[in-house]
Amino acid sequence: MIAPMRPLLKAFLPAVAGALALAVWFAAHFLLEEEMRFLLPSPAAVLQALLDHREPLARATLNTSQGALLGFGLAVVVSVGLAVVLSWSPIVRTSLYPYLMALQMTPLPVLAPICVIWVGAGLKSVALLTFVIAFFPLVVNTTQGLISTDRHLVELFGLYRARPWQQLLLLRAPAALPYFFTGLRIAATIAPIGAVVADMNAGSSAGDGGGLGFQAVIYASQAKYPALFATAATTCMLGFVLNAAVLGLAWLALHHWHDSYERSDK
Amino acid sequence: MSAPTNRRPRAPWLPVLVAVALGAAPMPAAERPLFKITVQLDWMAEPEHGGFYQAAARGFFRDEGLDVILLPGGPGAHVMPSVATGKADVGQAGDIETLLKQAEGLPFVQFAAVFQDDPAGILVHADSSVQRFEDLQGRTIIARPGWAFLDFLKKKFGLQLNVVAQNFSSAAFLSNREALQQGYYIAEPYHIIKAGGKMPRFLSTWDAGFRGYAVLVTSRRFSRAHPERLRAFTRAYVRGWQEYLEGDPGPAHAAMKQANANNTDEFMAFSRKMIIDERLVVGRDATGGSARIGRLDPARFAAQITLLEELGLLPKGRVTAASTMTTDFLPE
Amino acid sequence: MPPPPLVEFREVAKRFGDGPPVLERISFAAQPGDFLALIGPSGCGKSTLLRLLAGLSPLTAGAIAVDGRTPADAAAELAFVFQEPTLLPWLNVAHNVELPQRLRGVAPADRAATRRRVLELVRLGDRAAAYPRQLSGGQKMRVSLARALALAPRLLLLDEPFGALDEMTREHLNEELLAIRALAAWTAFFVTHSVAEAVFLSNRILVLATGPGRLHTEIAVPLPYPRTSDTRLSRDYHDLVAHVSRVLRSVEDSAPPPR
Repeated sequence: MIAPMRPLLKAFLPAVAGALALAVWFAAHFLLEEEMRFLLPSPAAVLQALLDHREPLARATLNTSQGALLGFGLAVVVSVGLAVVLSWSPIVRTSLYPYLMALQMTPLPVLAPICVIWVGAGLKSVALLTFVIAFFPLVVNTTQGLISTDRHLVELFGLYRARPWQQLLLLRAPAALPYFFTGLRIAATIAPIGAVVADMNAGSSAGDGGGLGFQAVIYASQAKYPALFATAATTCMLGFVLNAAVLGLAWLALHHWHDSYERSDK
Repeated sequence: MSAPTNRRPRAPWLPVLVAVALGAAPMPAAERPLFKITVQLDWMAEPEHGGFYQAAARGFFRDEGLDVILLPGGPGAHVMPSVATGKADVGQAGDIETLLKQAEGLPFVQFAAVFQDDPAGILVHADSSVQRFEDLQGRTIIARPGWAFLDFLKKKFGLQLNVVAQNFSSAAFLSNREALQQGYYIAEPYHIIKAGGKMPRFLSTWDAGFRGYAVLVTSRRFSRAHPERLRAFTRAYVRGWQEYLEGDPGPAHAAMKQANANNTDEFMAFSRKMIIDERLVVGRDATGGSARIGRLDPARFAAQITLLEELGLLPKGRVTAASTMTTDFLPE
Repeated sequence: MPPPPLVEFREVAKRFGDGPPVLERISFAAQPGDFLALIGPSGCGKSTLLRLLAGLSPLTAGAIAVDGRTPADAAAELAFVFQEPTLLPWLNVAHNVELPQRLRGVAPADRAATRRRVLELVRLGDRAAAYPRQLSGGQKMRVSLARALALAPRLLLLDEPFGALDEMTREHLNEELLAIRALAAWTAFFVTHSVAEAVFLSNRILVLATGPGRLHTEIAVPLPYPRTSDTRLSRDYHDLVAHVSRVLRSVEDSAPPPR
């Protein structure tokens, strides 16, 4: 097969695929009969809408990002703390896990109106709902990492009479980092979903206006489909950026020692 | 007409003989196969749909050779996409909302009026500080995001408005004396009083100059394919409204109760009375009357389009009265 | 008058929970400077014995004295080298080596001096910045050894440390181990499967039998130190290897069949 691909090739292939996809999209739009073309706006129309609506979209992106990052950051802090507690005691773990599961299983559109009643529409409920959706993968993965420390290493620390806080900070925490980042990547993928869905249900245009979900609702309700597609594309970009940031962080923390970053040709 | 069954008949020639006999004999009109028309309503069955339910319950549609299926709407109902994609043949909507969507390329034709004046507006508490439209400056309104009336208000009065998404319960409105909520004034006030509130005031769309119809829409494709059916449909619909408003609404109300268990006799009487008192179906101006039921006026459409263009809500020249509505299917 | 023993086992027994006894009536003593090899068939409890001595596991009966104290109290005098290198993968070689001192609270400057010294001892001075995943198996083991030496222990416990390595590397490491010992003279307990290794390294070989684990024989290894690769060529060495092998074989043959 293809030997280790040169970086140029690596960038070239997706670009070609993308161009092909755009061509198909264009063709599909014009193949529809004129009355039905509104179903699939042409790429040009979407681009135009992106330009025409750049102000509300930019504001919406800012708002959604704020909510997503706030909820995400909160989820990281709370989940790491909770993971430490859960890793300490199997009893606590067994008692709490079903409830964490239940929270995760509750669909967002059901939680959204409840959140609005509790904290009000807007940034607070978006952050809260993003927190809820991002929290569980982080907690589960980090806890797993903290309890999965190599038994021999734990014995080693025991031999040197390490104190519990030393064991946590110098052994369990670094060992759990790869697991934490796995959870972080999952959370980063679904957090924007949470923020947008939250916004659709609980959003408000108060303050500087709603987020991307709220904009999507407006455009859909006004049948402004090119703008709706543009909003979808923007949300996608947001997800990409968040994911890239997390991948970058993971690389920084892990690349010098973790097996998953080993180059296949040493 | 019944098709031959798949089971092996005792006398295989018998069904064939019956079919031929039936096919050959002339059938009374009522037994001819009915043409199916699906109607997507904009809300759950209520007196605003009086024309439909009376016509359906009293067999007016059937008399015209039509089998009309009424699909109730609700909070998630998507009348416009349903009709645009052909999932439903006919839909009920506001004419200005429809105009704006037609400007976006959606292939609708507006062909009959439901209300000469759409009773939409903003619910205001009796003792709220808001008295006029200008008082809405900087306020938050619970409404459907994208409601055209809000953009209209912003442009016309130079207002800054905030919107919070509707969740269609009275709770949010009742819990705050300064709350403002989108509503239909032939329905919401009743629910609010029933829930213990005082009769709310109403900032109606036509007081702001947003004089819209409530209309019936269909897709261009359907209107091209079945013009006679649409005429028959409109005939029966107008007949239904006439009887609902002037005669005994019992059959319609019975059907509405069946379609929506939340309908009480008291509510339906209240709503119907408002429709009659406010002359919503027959027209509030001097030329209003029974003959106006269902009629659309191209001049009024043209005026609406001009107004929207002036306010910058509609790109100039994108649509005209002729390109958006028709009187072809209205009774002579 | 012989010096007092550094390590004493008195009638030590061990069983896990309600299971059968793993070790029974183990009694012996080790002098300072001894290099004891523990060999025996699989399941004879030699690793368990080592872990008891390290204080990693509690006794069921009997007593162990390390310099007159229990293993728990004598922890500072002990260092343990596991079968796997057990390096922390997220720390480089230098930080791995200084880990015990860091846990003890030793100042950074002192840590730096010690780690340079021990890394020189294991001849990895130039790899201080490398990460474990960049090292070979033998190199990782040397780091593990360096780490064990960082606290200047009086007693070094090694549980089949070279078992996973190839024979050439193992022989080299054996020679290095003795070379290091010549400089610091710690007492060693070395568990191994390899008779050749046991003979090369130790001055006393304890042969354990199984069913349950107990001390079967002790064999003295009177070969003189320092021992080098030449030692392996000597007649005495070969005779001893043959003798120990025979003893081991007889122990294995008389072992009860596995349950």
